[in-house]
Formats: sequence, structure tokens, C-alpha cells
Amino acid sequence: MSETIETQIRKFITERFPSARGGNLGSQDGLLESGIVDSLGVLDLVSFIEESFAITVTDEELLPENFQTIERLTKFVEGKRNGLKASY
Amino acid sequence: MKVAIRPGDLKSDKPLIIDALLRFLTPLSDGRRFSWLYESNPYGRAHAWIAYSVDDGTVIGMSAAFPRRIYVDGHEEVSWVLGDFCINDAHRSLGPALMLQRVCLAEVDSGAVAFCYDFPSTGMMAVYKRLHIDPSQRMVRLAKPLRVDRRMKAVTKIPMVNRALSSAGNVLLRLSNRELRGDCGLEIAFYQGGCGAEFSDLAAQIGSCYGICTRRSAEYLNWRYVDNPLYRYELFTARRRGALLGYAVFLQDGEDAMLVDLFGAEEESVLCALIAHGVGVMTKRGVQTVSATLVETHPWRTILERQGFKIRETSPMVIYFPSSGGQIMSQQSWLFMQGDRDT
Repeated sequence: MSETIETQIRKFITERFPSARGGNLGSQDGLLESGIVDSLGVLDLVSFIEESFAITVTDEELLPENFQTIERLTKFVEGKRNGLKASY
Repeated sequence: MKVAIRPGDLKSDKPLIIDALLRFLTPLSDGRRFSWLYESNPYGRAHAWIAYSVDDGTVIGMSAAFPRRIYVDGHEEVSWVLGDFCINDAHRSLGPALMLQRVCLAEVDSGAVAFCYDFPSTGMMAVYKRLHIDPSQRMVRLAKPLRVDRRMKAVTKIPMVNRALSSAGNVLLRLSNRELRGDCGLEIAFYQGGCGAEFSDLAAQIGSCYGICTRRSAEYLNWRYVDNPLYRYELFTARRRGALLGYAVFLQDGEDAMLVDLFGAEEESVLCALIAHGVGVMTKRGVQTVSATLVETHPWRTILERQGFKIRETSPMVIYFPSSGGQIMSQQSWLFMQGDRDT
């Protein structure tokens, strides 16, 4: 499941952001500091994960620690989905 | 990392603000810029907000608001133009930016000023989108080519052909600009020194006749243009029998120039003569293009277009009102140009 989320996120990032296409984007490569994803890009990324994984991202969750790498983003999505499941 | 926002104190936080702006926004940030922009504005000192890490106090970004007095429907309102918004690259995940902007807009909501406006970058528009604030107006850049040399360099690399094409193109442009001349007994002159009471009188006389506009008092013009430590502006005045009827402010940057402000009685001949004079001066200096950035609905846009200025790119302008009455204001004409921005 985790691999699926990570794969989908990686695919979106490499397709959507030109500077992510050159080499192999690692799970721990910085997305924000490197400029791969800018502010508008974060908005796109948020829309993508909200639609793809049926979660809602609040403003308080738009923190670097959740978005700085693919690995962090994957964990964040997993955490949100687990939280949703737990609430049922 | 937990991020928090606090108001900036212009005295104790001065070094910190200058440093944050230098690192995150502009190499022009220094003590002189701060003193001018934050402390010397005749319409009031700036307001600043600082985003910092709660863990170690590190500054991760800041934003500021600069007071303006605006004529709206025949009366004067105090407003803010927002600017100097910056966030450390590593924190551009929108969250800290949203927190900063929310604190600033909450001050407007609480009645600190009647409204505020902003000329957001593409990145900043992401913040407004998330806040469900749409651009109320668009700024449009109009450009008038004065010479074709630069464009020809891109067309051909052969010097002889380049020179021939450039000469022919420049002659054609000069001929097309000849129709801009024509005076009507106006005296157009380069204005030196500080602006006096006649400028304040003109601002009061015109008020908001032609749309919502900044109160261009002598104090404001002296601060904004004459004493600006960052750029050297040039002001041309139009007079009839000695009485000030209008003025234009130009800024030359190498081979490009900008008409940053245009103000006066809406007597087309006055505005045309001012534009033509400035364009003529810039042509003699070898400037390639003169641009003018103004609100899309600016009432004098057609005057510029008739003078050969062509539409280039547009950019958003956000106007934020605490009350629903603002909707009416956002639909009115705004007499805003490049000079109405924060710096």
C-alpha cells in the first residue's frame, strides 16, 4: 500500500514539475529547498493528494516536515488515511 | 518545527528585518532602504510581521504593510499596500505563508485600515488561492518600442544586415512617433528639487474624479520619488501660464524606461504632451522600449494605446476589504500605476 502511495506521488511530481525530471528523484531528496516544488506547486500537490487519496489537508498541516521529501509526504498521507480509518 | 507569527517592532527588530529581507527577498535590503520604506513614509510607519520557529526562534519569513492615503468617492481612506513578503526556501510549503498572511488580513478585518491591496507574484497567488481570495483587478504592462536595435540583434547575427535593418526600423519608429508632438501652449519641463504645495493642491483638486487613487501630496511624492534611495526617478511637469496641470514620472534602467506615474487633469492634450515629452527624452538617450504598467481598467489606458503603447503581459492585483461594501469599490476605476506599488 505504502509503495503504491509513494509511486503515485513520485509519478505526479515527475510529470508535473519539470525540474524533477532530470535524474532519479530519491525518496529523501528535498522538494522545497531545491525549488522542485514552489508555492503554487504545493497547491497542486495538495489538490492531487486530496483527490487521489480521499483526504483533506488543513492549513496547519501545510508544513515543511510534511512536504519536504517524497518519503515525508508518503508518511503524511498514510497517517491521514490511517486516521480516517480509525475514526470509522 | 512549530511556526508562530509575531508583530515586528521596527526599532528592536530592525536588524532582524533587514537581514531576513536580504536573505529571502532582495539584495537591495539595507539600512537605507529600511529607513526610507519602513520609517519615513509620510502616511505612517510600516507594519511588519515575523514568522519564526518556536523551537529556536529562527526567523523563517516576514511580511509588511505600508500605509497609503487613498481618495475614494470624494473622501480619503487610509489603506495598506502589502509588500516585502518573504519565506525561507526550506519553508515554502504554504503553511507558514498562510499563517503570515492571515495575521495581516486579520488586522484589516479588525478595522486597522479601510482596505489593503497587493500585487502578488505567481507564488503569492497560491497563498491567496488557498485563502479563497481572487484578484479584483489585473495590472497590464503596455510597451512602446523606441528603437529596434535589440530586437534586430536577435533576428540576425550579421553585423551589416543588423545595422541596415536597425537603421531602417529606427527611422520608421521615429516617423511614427512624430505625431506625438504638438503642444497647445503647454510648457513641459523637467522638474528638479522637492515638490511643493502646488502638487498637493492638484491632488486635492482632482481627488477621486477619475477613479480611486493615491493622494499624491507633495510630501508623498517627495518621499516616493524624490528621496527614494533605491531608484532615480525623473519628473516632468505640464504647465499653462505657470499653473501646474499634470506630471509624469519616468524611471530609466539601462536601455529600458518606465512611465511609473502619470497624473493630472484629464485634458487629453496635457497627458499626451507629458507622455510625448518623456518618450522624446528617452528616445534621444537611446532607450529601446518604454513601458507603463497600470490597472487594466485605468481610464487613461486608451490614451497610452493611442500613443503607440501595446499590451504585453498582465499580472494580478488583489484588493481586500473587511466588509461587503468593498465589492462596489473593487468594480470602480482604479487610477493605479507602477508607482502605486510598495517600492
